[in-house]
Amino acid sequence: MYYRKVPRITNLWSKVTDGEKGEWLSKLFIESTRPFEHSLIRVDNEVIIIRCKGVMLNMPEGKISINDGLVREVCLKQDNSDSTSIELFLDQPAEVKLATLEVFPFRLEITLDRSYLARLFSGKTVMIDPAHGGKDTGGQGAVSLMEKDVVMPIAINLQKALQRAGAKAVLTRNGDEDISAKERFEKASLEKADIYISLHTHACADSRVAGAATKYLANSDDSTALATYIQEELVKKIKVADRGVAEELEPVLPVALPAVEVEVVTITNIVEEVFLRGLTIQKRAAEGIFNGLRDYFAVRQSDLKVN
Amino acid sequence: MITGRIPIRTHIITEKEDIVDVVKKYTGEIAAPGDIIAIAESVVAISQGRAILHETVKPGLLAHFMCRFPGKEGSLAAPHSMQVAIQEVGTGRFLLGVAAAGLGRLFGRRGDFYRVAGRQLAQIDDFAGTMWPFDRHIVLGPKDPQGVVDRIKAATGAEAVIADVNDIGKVDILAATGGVDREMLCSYLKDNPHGNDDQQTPIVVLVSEENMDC
Repeated sequence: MYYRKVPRITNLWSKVTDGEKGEWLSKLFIESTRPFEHSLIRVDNEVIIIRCKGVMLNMPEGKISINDGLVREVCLKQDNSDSTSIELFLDQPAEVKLATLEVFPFRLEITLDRSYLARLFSGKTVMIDPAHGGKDTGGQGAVSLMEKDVVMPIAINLQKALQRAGAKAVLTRNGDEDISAKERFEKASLEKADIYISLHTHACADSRVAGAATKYLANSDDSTALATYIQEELVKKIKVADRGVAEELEPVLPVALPAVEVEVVTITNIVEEVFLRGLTIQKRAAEGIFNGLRDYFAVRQSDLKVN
Repeated sequence: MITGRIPIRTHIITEKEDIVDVVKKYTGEIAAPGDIIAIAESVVAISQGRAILHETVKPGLLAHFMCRFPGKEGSLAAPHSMQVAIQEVGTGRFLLGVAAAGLGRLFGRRGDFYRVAGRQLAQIDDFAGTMWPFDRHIVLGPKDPQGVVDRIKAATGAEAVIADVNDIGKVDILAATGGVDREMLCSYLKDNPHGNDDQQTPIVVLVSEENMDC
C-alpha cells in the first residue's frame, strides 16, 4: 500500500556523530513512508531550507528544538497539499549535505559539518570543578543523593564534549577527594585555564524551591557574560525553572580568570533529586553548559575581529 | 509477518484527548488491516488523566521509609511516587509485596514484590520517567488497556497493542488485540522504537508483509 499512497513525513530525529574520516557531524533524519523530491536552498549562514515536493506532513507542523551546539531548531511547514518545507536554523555556519537512504521508513539524511564549532574551541583550556568531595558532601537531597556525587558525571560529560570540540578540559578532582578551593585555583593556574566552571547543585531549606542558577564574580565583565550565556543555554536544554544569574558572594571562584558557579538544579527539591538519578539530566546539563561556552567564545571571537 | 516499522512523531498528548482519536489521526493514512499499531503505555495513561503532580501527594511515614530501597536508578525512588504506589494497591497488599520481596531475596529471587503487590506498580513512572512536560509528574499505568486496544482496532482496522518498553530491551505488553502474536511482537519492540525523551514517537506502526508489497 505504501507504493500507492502519497508519501508522508512521520518523524524527525537528530544525533551528533563522527564521520567515516573522523569528521565531527550533526545529522538530522527525516523519515517518510516513501521517497520524495527535495531541493536545498541556503538562505544565509544560519538558515537552510529544504523544499520537499509531493509529500505530506504526518507529524505536527511547527518548531522542534535540537540545540545540539550547531543546529538550534528545525521548523516543518506544510506549504500546500503537494509541498512541505523544512527550515534549519543554525547557531554557527556549517557545510550541509543531503543524502537519501533507501531503507524503510525512507530517510532523508541531512549532514552538517561541525568544524566551525571545533575551530571555536580549539586551543582553549577549560577547568571544570566538580564541587565538594570527600568529607565535604555539599548539599543533600531529601532521599539520599549528595551534591559531591551528582556533579561528577556532569563534569565528565562536559569534559568529553569539550575534548571532542578540540578544547583542553581538565577536572579539579577525579575522585571523591576533599580538596581546598586554593588547590583547585592553583590547578587552574597551572593549566593556564581560559575559563573556570564550578559545578554545583543548589540546596535550600524550602523544598519547594527548584531550578538552575549561575553565579559570577562581580569584578569581571567576562564572568558576568559567561554566566549569562551558560544560564540561558542550560535552562533551554534541561527545561527547569530559571533562578537567574547572580553575583557570587562566597570566595569559591578564582579571581584571575573568567569563572562561574553553575547550580545545575536544586538537589533539595524532591523532583529534581529524582532527575539527578537519571542519565538524561547529566548529559543535557553538560550540553547546555557547552552551548553557553560556545556563545561566549563566539562573541569573544567576533569582538577580537572587530578590534 | 512484520516487515517494517514506522515510528510516528506526535504532538504532546494531554489528558484532554481521547487516545483512540489521536491514534486514528496519526495512523489513518498509514496503518491498514494486517498491521499492528503499538502505543506507549505512558501516553495512554496521560490521556486518561493518570499523570499526577507531586504537589497533590502527601507521602506518609511508610512511603518515606520505603523509597530508600529501590536502586539508585530505580523507579519509586521518591516518597511521593512510593505513596502513589501504596494508594494504588492498598497498604496491606503493598506490605505483603514487601514481605515477599524480602523472602525472595533470601533465596536469590527477584521480582516477587511486583508479583505479590501487583503488576500495575511496575508501570508507575517516577519523576523524569516520562517525556517533558510530564517529567514532573508521577504517571500511573493505563486503565483498561484491553478496552483501549479493542477501540483502536475498531477505529482503524489494524491490530493494536499497548506496550511498556525501556531502553534496556525489556518489553511488557499490557494489552493486545486478538490477532497479535505477543512473542513475535516483543522482538520487534525490544530496541525501543518509541524512542527516548528526544524522540517523541509514542506510536509505532508495524507494517505487515502484505501491506508493504501492495
